[in-house]
Amino acid sequence: MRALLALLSGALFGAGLHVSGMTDTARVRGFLDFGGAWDPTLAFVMGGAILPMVVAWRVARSGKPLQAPRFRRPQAPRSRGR
Amino acid sequence: MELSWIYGLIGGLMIGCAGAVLLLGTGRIMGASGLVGGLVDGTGQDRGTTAAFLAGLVGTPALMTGLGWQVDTQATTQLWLLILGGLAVGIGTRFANGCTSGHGVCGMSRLSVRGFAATLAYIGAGALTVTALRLGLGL
Repeated sequence: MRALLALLSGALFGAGLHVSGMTDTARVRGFLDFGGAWDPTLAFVMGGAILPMVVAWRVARSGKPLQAPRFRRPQAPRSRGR
Repeated sequence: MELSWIYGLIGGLMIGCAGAVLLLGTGRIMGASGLVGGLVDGTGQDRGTTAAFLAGLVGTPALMTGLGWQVDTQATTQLWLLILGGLAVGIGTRFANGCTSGHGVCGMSRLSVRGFAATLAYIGAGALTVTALRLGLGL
């Protein structure tokens, strides 16, 4: 069941990238080309993606995931002084 | 072409829903680079779940293309350049602890300072590189 949810998530991610046109390298490069023919599409993709995640984080404040014992919190930065 | 921002917004919402499904369903953060990394270097937990996620991520665009929804891409066909680019992305995201999906989508949506910093750094460094290549090499 957990793998099925992960598959659904990956499929949504892939489909979203495809629909938004972000599998086209020219679009990504165009977003970074501020001095040239700037393509703002990536900003809309990023903004659109952040909206559902804002809700998800809010929901995740309480309770636990459907198919896991707990939420994995982002880790604090690790020291890389090796 | 002029409607590309609408497709961008719709696709973006789908990506956000993908992150929400992974977080609320499995408790995990949808960072593509971290998930791939954990699968490859053996440090990742719950690798079956990760593999299922990646199968969906790679398979769906391939399936959509096969069904006739084609998206042009300008990616080079030079294998060595693809490998070099992939290595650069892998090394960079490992140092930064995340990529566009992890820091940009999942990080910024929880108002993470690190997420904002990493995303701004990516855009800045990317813009510098693109501009340098355009002006320097005429690409």
